[in-house]
Amino acid sequence: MRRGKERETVVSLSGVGCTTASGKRILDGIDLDVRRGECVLIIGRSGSGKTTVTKCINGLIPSFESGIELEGQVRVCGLDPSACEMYELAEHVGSVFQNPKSQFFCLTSNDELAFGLETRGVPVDEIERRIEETVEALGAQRLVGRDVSTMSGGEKQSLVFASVDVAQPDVLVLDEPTANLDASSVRALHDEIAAVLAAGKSVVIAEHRLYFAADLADRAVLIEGGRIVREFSPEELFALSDKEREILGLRAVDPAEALKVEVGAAAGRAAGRSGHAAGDRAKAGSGLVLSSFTVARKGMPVFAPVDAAVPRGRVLGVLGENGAGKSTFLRGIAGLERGSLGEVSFDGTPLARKQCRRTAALVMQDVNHQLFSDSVWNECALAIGGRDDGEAASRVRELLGTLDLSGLEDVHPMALSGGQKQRLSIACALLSDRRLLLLDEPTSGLDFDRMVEVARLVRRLADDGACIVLVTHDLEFLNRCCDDVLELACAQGGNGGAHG
Amino acid sequence: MIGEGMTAAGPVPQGGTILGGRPRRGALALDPRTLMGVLLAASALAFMGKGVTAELCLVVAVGLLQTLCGHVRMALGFVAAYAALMGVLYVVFPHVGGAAATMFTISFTFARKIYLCLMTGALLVSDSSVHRISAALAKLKVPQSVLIPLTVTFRYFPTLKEEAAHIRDAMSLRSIPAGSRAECFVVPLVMSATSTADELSRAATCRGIENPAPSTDTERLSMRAADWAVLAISALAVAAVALFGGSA
Amino acid sequence: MGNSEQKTTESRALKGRDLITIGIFTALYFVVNFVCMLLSGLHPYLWVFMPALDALLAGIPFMLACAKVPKSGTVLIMGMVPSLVYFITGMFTPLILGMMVGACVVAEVIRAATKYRSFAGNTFAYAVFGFGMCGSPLPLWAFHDSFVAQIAAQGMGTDYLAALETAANPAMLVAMFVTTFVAGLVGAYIARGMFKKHFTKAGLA
Repeated sequence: MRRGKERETVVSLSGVGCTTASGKRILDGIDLDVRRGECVLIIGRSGSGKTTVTKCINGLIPSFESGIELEGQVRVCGLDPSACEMYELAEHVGSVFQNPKSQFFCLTSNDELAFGLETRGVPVDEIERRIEETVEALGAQRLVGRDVSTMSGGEKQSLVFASVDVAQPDVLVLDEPTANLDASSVRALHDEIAAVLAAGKSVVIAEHRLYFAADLADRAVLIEGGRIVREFSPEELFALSDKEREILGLRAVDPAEALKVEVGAAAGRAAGRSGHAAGDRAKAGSGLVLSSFTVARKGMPVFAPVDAAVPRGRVLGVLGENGAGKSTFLRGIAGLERGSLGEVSFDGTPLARKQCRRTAALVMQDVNHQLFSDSVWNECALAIGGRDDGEAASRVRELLGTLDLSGLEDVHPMALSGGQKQRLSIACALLSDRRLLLLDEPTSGLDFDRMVEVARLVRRLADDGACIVLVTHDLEFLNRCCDDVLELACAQGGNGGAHG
Repeated sequence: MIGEGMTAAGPVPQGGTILGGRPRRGALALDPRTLMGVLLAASALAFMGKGVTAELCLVVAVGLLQTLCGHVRMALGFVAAYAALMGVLYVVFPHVGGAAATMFTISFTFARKIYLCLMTGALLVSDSSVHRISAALAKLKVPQSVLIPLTVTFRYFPTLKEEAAHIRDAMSLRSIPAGSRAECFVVPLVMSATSTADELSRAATCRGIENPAPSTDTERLSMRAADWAVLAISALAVAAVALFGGSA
Repeated sequence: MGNSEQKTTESRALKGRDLITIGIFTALYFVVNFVCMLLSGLHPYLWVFMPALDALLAGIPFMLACAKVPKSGTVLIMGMVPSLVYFITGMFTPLILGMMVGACVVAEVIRAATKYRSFAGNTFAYAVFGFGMCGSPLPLWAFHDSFVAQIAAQGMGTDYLAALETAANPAMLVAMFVTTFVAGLVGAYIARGMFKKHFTKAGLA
């Protein structure tokens, strides 16, 4: 506890419990004090109750979750969130959430920065002064004077953070703020949080990406099953062995570890590696082969041309800095980009763009866009060509079993959890006989256990003969399931960006 | 026009101020309320009887206003398009005829009638950001309960476009029977709109959108002599057309 | 604790969060509406039956907004926002504005009378709401003489003017309102189908 000793308490939860309408106890006997200037990390598995704690502090419980029964006492800067209006609380608490796309309110970044103070009726010169101060303190000059819709996800998240900070809250509550960000955006956000802490504000972060926040925290509380089960000092956090950490369901603490590539040399550029020992399934000429492949937008190639071979049974991980065109790369292979150049061939057959769309399956980062039916079963039937009788039915049943989706046949796809949606999308790909699987950031926002599950699934699919290309910024994940790594370089940039 | 013009960031403020400030593109920098006044005048003029000369004068006048506000290319474009429109209506449709004439005479005639509105609207939209227009409407006592949804609507258009593109891509990767295409497109779109509505409500509420205090006018709107002059000229134009406009 | 306060604040008054929800669904409504508006330029008959087409297609955003924000004002805002946008972008709006306000007020009364949660009530409100867009082709009748005079001055033949008379006679006006109302009922019915099949099952309405 470097900071915050003997300072006033700004957030105090005592004996806080939450029960859902269905009687499930999601928080139980939480006692947590946050002092001024302190940074508290709330860690634990997905579903442990991390987010619920943040909601108790920023007033979303009870204000937005009327079905949740709250007990115990919550005090935030002297206010009781359940007895005051949200706008009163807003003067003391600032919140940043997971999804950068759905938190900004204005079309331009300057209006967004002003938004919080504007609704309060603060004089315009005062607002301007505070924006200038914040931008200066956070080093956020790149965010000024922008059209928000043209900003990247990382920039949007930094903008949200800066906008919240302009309103000068005493406490900032961050709920998995990095779930959708890449490494460089995470770094930017990290530095911005450090600046806010240096200014004496308190920060509460619910995260499982420990490397991102471990060095900022004064302490970390581990939540399991809705209870605080353990408290760590930063030293204790860093001293956790990998094994202990994994048992607790936590992601790597040390940035050096989280950001290290352990997979063998890049498959890319070293063309003709298809002969490489790739398991017994890899016959010569089978699988995906890219030659001088790139995608042009507005006449300019987005990334330097790629030569790569991904035999059946192997997994290629694609890395690259922000804006290197990782998603565009996948979309190009899937035949979704008009300006694709070079050649894509699968199992020895060169594919035209339209054939790419019939051969590849793309699991998008936001999988909600690709589920269309009114039940899991019908989604599968749609994928298999509208039939769900006899042989088709038994195939669907078997596959749902292997993908841990049994018993969910009648559920609406949108009512599934994120992981279930992802697996359903994979099921559809397999049912329509796609053996070229493209995964875009399949582990964004996942905790350790779920990341490991996805890594196992990827491995299993590859072992069953699929050819997998995945784009990720999650190196822990990459190290677990990829055979080869391709570092995508910007077209102009020459050699690949640095990492680790 | 709506997708492009209104979602753009608008003129970048200059001179060290971060917020507001008038667009400083041309000789005239008008308050959005002034242009709304001109729009009202243009609406009044739309279905008043007026001779071709009067109509031409009015188009040139609004073109001049666009020029003075620094939108020279817009003015030239509108005047040229007006000439083309008149050519089509007076020469091509009556003398060449064909299916196009039956189809488009009405809509082109309507476009001719509301041409001044279109010109002024284009000027208003490209001169002011959505935020500025909404601030102007707030000054005109349009309640926040309309202006907040208005802002959200515009803020959501770019997202909507992105989501729609993603869904179309996802659909093109699956073989979806033609009969259920519409449903397959609409359902994820509506789902995503619903979750955006929920998440955005939470974020905005946490930032104090429900604060009943009157919002700051961060656009620093003010009516100046030039604004009143333009309004007066518009009113005079309406009066003049009413009295001496001639018929058509 | 906190529940008693919760009850009192959960009034019929629109809160910030409701306004945002309405804004998002209005964006969806507006897109449908705008596409119909563009189509209506293609042919006079398309213009006359544009409100019906709009009513047929825009049921989902309307019904969802009503389901999500069962308070007074939802429909009025949903009508006023597009009207404002059309005003700002220089479409000729006095008639749209007038029709829209009238239709929305009636729709609000219907919703209030049916306590905001009844499907039949919302359907009826939606069918009435559709009249708002009838303000767009209304100049055909309201400014009939001005139109005819101008088209004649532009030199169109008598055949065309005769055809125009059929398109702009009072019977067509009645037909426009009737089809719009019926299309509204059908549009709401389509929306209900989507609710049953998807939205309720997915837990969002």
